Amino acid sequence: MRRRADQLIALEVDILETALKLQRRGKAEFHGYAIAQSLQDETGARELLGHGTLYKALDRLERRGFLTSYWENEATAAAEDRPPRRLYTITAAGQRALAEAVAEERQTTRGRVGRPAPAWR
Amino acid sequence: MIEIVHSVIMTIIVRLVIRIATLVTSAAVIPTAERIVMAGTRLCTWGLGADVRERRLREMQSELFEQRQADFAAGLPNEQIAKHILARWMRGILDELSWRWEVRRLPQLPLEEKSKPPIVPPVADFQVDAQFIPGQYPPATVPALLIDDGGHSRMMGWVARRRYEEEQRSRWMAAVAAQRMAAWGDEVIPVAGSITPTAMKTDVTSRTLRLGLHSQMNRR
Repeated sequence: MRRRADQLIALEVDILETALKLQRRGKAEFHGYAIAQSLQDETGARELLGHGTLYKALDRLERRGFLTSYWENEATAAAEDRPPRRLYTITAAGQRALAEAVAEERQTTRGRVGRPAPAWR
Repeated sequence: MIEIVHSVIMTIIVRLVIRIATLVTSAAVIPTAERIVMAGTRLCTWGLGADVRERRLREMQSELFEQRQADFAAGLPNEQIAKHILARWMRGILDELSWRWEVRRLPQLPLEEKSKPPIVPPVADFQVDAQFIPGQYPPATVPALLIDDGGHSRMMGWVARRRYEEEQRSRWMAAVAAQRMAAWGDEVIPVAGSITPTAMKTDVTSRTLRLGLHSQMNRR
């Protein structure tokens, strides 16, 4: 079955889910490596997501308004002696899209046991 | 006797050289791996817009740093860290290329047009829609950006430098920007002047604030 252009792919759903979980734990903002690590922990993947795969997904989510991002203050980064991080946050639109995607997935997987493994793993 | 002393000294020197070489090589593997990844990223972003390219390169630099630190903290040897860096980059190459293809398909201004200074109309009426993130916004009924002079300057900064550090300072999360801001893009436009609110509508359910603004600006 062909995927709709506006449909989220499994990795994008996983990223939004993880971002929301981080937000609930009080970490509303995350950087690329943090989300890659959290995704690995959440999904039990053996390896960290490839750079290109991660940033392509983040870029697409941001272009669709599901994530928003900004460069952290240079001074903050300099104080910790590291390069500045690009910090991402899930938007209200992202939360809605995630809820819709999860509901849609539940409908399509009704009758199956458990959630299918992410395609990117 | 001399031959024995010579032989012992030579053995010590050779061992020392081997030890130093091993140490140097071991220490150099991580920067080498990182240089390879950065070169690959430069190649993948070659010919894309300067802002897109710079952002990806800066993000990659930060990413490599974080990964290296995490691997160091886990007590991994240098060779293993370098292997992780290269393997992770290689796993994403296909997506990197398809991302490049996607980005190139996005409508972009021709370079000549991009290099021209953006046109900021001295007087303009426009509208801003801002969406707030729960727990991170000032109360929607009191838009912090319009309270005082500091607010005014932040507002101007935010308008001109959408998605940059001003956004962090003001804690505003813009989901949709005004038409004129979209036309300005993300370029930094130093402006002087004033922005006066002409209308304000807050939708608490969707956490959206719609501002009608009248601007009177001159580019510095």
